[in-house]
Amino acid sequence: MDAITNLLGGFAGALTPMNLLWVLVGCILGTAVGVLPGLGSSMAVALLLPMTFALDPTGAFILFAGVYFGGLFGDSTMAILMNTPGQSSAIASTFEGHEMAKSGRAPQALATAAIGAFIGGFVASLCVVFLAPALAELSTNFGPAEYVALALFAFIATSSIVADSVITGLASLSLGLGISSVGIDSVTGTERFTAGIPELFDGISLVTVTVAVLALGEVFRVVSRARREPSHLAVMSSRRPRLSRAEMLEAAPAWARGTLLGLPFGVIPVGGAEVPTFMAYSVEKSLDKRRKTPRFGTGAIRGLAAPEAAGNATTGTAMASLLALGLPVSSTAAIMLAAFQQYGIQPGPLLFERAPDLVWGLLASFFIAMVVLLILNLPLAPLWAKLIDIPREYLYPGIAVFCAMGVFATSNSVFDLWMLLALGIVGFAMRRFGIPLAPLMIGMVLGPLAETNVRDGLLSSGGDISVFVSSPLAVGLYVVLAAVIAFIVIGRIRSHRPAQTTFQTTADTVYETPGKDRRK
Amino acid sequence: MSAPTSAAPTGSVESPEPRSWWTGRSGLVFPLILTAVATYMLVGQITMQVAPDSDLPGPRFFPGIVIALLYLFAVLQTVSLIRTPQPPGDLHGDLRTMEITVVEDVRPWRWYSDWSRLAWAIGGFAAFILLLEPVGWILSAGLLFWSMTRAFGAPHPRRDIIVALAFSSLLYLAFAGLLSVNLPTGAVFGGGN
Repeated sequence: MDAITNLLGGFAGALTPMNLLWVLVGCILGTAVGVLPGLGSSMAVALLLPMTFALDPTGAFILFAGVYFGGLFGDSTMAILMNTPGQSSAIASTFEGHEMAKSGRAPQALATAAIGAFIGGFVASLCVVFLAPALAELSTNFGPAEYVALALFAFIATSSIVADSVITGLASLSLGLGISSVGIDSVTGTERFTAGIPELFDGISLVTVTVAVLALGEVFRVVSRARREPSHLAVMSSRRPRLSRAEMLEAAPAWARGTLLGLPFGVIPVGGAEVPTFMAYSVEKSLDKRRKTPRFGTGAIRGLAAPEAAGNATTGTAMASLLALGLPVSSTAAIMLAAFQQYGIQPGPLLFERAPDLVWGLLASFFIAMVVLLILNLPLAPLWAKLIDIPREYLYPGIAVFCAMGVFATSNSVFDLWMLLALGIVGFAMRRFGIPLAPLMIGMVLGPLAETNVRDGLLSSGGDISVFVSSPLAVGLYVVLAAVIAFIVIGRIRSHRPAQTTFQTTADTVYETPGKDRRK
Repeated sequence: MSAPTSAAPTGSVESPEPRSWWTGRSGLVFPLILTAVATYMLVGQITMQVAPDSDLPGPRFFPGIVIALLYLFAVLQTVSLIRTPQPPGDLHGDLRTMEITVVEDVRPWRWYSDWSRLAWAIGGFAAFILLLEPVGWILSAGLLFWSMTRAFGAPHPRRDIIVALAFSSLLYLAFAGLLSVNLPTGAVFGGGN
């Protein structure tokens, strides 16, 4: 088995003391940022991205592996303890997870989440090891038609699934596409939308956009509400998280189902792990209804185990499509892509041939990161929750300074700082008015890919549009896209009422926890 | 979690105070941003200097589509906001947190967002950018940190000056010193960049 030999080689590269240290640092930093309220794993990656440029590529990506999965652990820790998921993929974990915590089973909930995330992530990483080279092999045959189909798939799926309203999603996407078209056109060398400013010739950097929209925008949002919202109290417990044998047996099938559900979603560009986590949750819920004593609503362990496993499984396999196709399926993956490009490495079919050390080292460090996180988070989860005791009047200023430093360190230009501020304000406005941010990121990252391939296709066919439906693979993708959209639309119409009732109970519980002083 | 909130019939919420037409419609700012970007791109599109012999589809092809989309969604969103206003509380798109799921009917504040505090944050950031090269990283980043603590209404402004300078110096030592990240020392101190 080629893959196994390669992976072992990767382990050999990743298991040096220095690289182990980077994994550890990445896991700790990722979890720490993920734990902070309102800050999710994509923000962890965005904030730490500029910091890694001082490292060599292998070290940097090993650090990223830790941050990537650490952020997810942090997200769900907070989802359980405080009912504040840092990322939309952790929302499904709050329903039963926070119920468990409120009924005094916080340690068990954290353990369930940590083990579920471990299983999902581990199985997913195994899949990536065997799947990604094959996927890369397949994609060497990809031409403009396939890439255009993939990009369109990602555009439409992200903006219609992640967003509450399709219009806001597509609007956000168009903004991202617009940002990506600034700079010198790669085909003809024409200056586009630069207004003669030399800093814009290379286009607006993805790092600047990411940090501005995901991090600085959030800081501004928190500022805008600081006087009006009291901070939350976490449901704490100092006991060690440990699951009894019965609880393990109870959760085991849910972990397995969640993992299986999450795996395929990493390769389909539907905007991250939100869809599979919700699907895993509702599968468990409908299975629960058939039991003699339904447990959902009172802190059912399965309602937490399944989405956690699904979320991490998706996040894991998302790396397969990023590495093998160069196609980011979530905003976190988009930032990883930016990181690759910053080192002059282009993920895609040729990556496995051009930079095998890096790829296999990265894959090996996924496994290491999983183990480190499990060891780190089982005993330390309650300790992490203490991080929220940092007063926010120091926490967020610190983040703002980090944003500024990161952007300046990568660009070395004051112009980029102005860009950061302007886009940060746009990011704030988008949060304030409920415009989803993921489509913007996806549009920004995949815009150039879509444009180049559309033009290549049209040039080679002499302007004949039918070139885009000439390959069976592209047609297949359009059919799947149509099916996914139909599925989502039908699902939304059918689940409209039940979803609302579920929410009412959750809304009450949110209201109850910070309670007294807010209600007046 | 904001999807179900928005599903609630927002228009029928009874409020004791009269609400201005703008309540729930301040989201029109976003279509305005879209229009501004689209217009900037349109001007760029017209003034773009394209080599006459370049093959079609040329550099104007893709931006043309984007501009059309931007105008289209600006209009669609304006229409949807005018027809169904969206009060604050229904927030955050894909990064929503559950902090603000409940909107109280009687709000003592005139604005949903705290503009005076935001002015501290944004103003502080602008001042930081202006001062970065003249006075260097330590002082300007200290100022950024401090004005952000003001934005959060931290109780000890004087003590915070020390905290801010300590923080920016620490970052300077760690990143410029250890990781050799390029942070300006400041023109007034004779340092170039």
